[in-house]
Amino acid sequence: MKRRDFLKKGLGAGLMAGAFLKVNGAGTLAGTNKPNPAKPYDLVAVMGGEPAQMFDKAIAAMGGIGKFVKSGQTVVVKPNIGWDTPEELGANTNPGLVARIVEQCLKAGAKDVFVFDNTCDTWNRCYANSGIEDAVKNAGGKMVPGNTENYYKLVSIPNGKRLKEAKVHELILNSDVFINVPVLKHHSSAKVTIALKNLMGIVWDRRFWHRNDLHQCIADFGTWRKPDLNIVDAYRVMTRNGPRGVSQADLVMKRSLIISTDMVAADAAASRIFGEEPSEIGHIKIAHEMGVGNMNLDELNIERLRV
Amino acid sequence: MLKTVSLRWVRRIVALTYFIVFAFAFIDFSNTLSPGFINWFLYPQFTPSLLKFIKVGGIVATGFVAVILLTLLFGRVYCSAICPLGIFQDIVARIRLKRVRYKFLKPWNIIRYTTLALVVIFALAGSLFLLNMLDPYSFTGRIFSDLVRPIYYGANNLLVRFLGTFNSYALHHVEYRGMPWQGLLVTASLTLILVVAAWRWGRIYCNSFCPVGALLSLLSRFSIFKLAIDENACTACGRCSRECKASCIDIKSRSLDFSRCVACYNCIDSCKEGGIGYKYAYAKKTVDPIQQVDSSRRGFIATFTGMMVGATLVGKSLTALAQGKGKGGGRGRGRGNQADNNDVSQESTAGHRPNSRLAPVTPPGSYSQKDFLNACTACHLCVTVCPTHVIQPSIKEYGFFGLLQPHMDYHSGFCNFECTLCGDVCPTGAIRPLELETKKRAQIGKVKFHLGNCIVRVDRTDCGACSEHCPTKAVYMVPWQGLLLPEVNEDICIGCGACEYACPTTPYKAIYVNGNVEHQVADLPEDMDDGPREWDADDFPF
Repeated sequence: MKRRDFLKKGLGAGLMAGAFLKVNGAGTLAGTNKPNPAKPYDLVAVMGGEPAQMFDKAIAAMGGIGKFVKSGQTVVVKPNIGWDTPEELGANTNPGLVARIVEQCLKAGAKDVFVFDNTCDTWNRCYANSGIEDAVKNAGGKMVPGNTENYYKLVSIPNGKRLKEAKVHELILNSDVFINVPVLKHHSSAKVTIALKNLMGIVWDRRFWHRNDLHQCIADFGTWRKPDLNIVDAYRVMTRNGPRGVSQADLVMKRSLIISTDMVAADAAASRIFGEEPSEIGHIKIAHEMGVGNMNLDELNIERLRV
Repeated sequence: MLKTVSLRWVRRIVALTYFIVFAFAFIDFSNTLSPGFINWFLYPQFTPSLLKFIKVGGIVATGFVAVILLTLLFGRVYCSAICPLGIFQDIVARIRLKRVRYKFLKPWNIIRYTTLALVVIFALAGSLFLLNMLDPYSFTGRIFSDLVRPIYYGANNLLVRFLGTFNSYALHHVEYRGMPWQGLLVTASLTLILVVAAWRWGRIYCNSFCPVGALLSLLSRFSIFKLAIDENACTACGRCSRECKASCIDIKSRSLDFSRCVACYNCIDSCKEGGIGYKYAYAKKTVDPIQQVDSSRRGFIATFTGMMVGATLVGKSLTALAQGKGKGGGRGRGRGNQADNNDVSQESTAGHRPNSRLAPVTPPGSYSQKDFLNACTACHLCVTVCPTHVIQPSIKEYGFFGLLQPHMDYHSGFCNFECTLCGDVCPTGAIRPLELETKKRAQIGKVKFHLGNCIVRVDRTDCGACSEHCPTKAVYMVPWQGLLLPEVNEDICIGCGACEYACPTTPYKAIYVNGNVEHQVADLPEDMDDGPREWDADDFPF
């Protein structure tokens, strides 16, 4: 599909969706899509810098970390640490970015900043090899295991169609602030993995999702709890052989970062950076239709920044 | 007579220190001890060292030579100071509240040398089965890896729960998984028998069933220094005999059967007259109780030689038998019916068709199933150190005679791409250490896709868990009716089992690994050497 065609179709779908769902905080439907500094941004996108640097700029444009983290609160940061691979292979969230998020949260007065993932490869090797463990510890955060079922508590998902309940890591349930920090990657089964898909790493039984319509389950889980902030690492982007990657040949240096409180919007913008139309990604489309968020970027107040 | 320091205390300290480290190595889940340390720590273990020497060679495999030399000098020092099973039995006997009063027993020579001969026959015939069941090093490894490890894990998890009430994540839960109950039962039964025997009769195992004990007892007949009773000092009080857990001191004839002496030195300390100590065994004209044993020495050697000749003959015929039988490889988990793959109905039958794994998978670095089975003593050190719990004791995968020798159990875990630990620690050479880059291409099996079990095909929803986990993308997804369906490329598959482990279908998987009876080298995925590309966009695409 050509981009122009898509935009036309997307706009149509957006109008309908907007009419039916009254998407919260939706900006103009005119399609001009000029940023409006007078209103809070729905999404901030940055390109051209190092991950930590881009985050600083993006969070400032969002109104500062203090808007999301209050003094004395506990914060859980959920990066993608799924694979026992080094930073250079881009399979995990950038460690420098995670460290800077931890630092900012602590600076805002957070009591504790916890970081974990329910990894695919052996958890402690992923934590170490990704560089995230060291980065987080140096920044003053705490790495938390998520390797056994004991850490996960059953929650119900009233709005889920296929996924009615799931076991979720206790940190997500106990912390005051939940920050979702996916890395943008190609994904062999979900096409792309961004914010919505990253939440598979806070639940215990992923096999159930794979058995029961993966895209629907990802969207269903999105209805359960919105992260307070989604920060998409699109610095080293794995454009094929995802989500694990085979070599650096799978990567494109896109040096971008997206930040939004809306998972679906973040996923839509990141999909574009990846080179896919959001409406072509099953779980993004379903999540949009279920009202998890808004994938119609034209309707959002977006700030675009460069470093 | 040399008796300056208490040899018993030296032995006790050495043995206890060694034992504690040994036990820890077999229960630790954090890989605290480096593989290099473990290699040298296990250097003096007789059986693994001997097998490794035959298999690989190298200085690190000369431990058994050191033990032989030590035995030829001072007798079976190994049995009390280094042998973990010997020390284990001593500890069992020691924790009795009422101390055992041992008494002299006649040697069970027929049993112990027949056992040794049978172990050798089996080994020559290509099965380490008997050796593995009886070898003291491997037996102790299993006691700790199979039986004590879950208790250790449980204790850790209780502590984690306790810390959790203080919101501390300093320690973490560990999962004891994958161990087949049959394996647990075998180890538990053998251990129970051993504990009862050690409780009641001291070192009866070492002088009746232990192949290493039997071999060293043959050697100790030629020891240069032997423990002996000084007849001039002996008052026949019998204290030494009551202290002798090997039951080898006959106070009536004031003699000490050095071939059964495990060199614990309890007798030395027990003798108020200082009448027991090491003595040069080849001194001229000694009227020495050892002579009594010596008279029968020739007989033993003759018998043993006879047995060995017999063993070789029987062994040859057994080898022929085993080779004929072994052709089919190991047995899989059920009979296959892949033929009816095309019969795909619309209702969800994903994972309902059994697979036909033609051969079990042996760990990377084992080169071939035969190499592996001929060198692995089933000590389960690899089972303990494996971070993914993919290495598990086998039950019937290699047939009965391969019982407890580990295999790759892809229902329990998958082989971590970046890991070489099993080969790094294996003391027998059954799993040889591989450089990481070599390991990443060691093809231990090949992927098989069973379309009739696949979610995508059967339920018509996206899944792709197999491809997701594949480290080489030997499993990749192709468009199929608006969905993505797995396809496999065996050439770049290394057989790590990530796909099989991740596959969500039950009870049978839609993708599995068929073991390579002979390991191969996988092809490299394409254009591995290219670096990351630059992005040509100069503006946001939204």
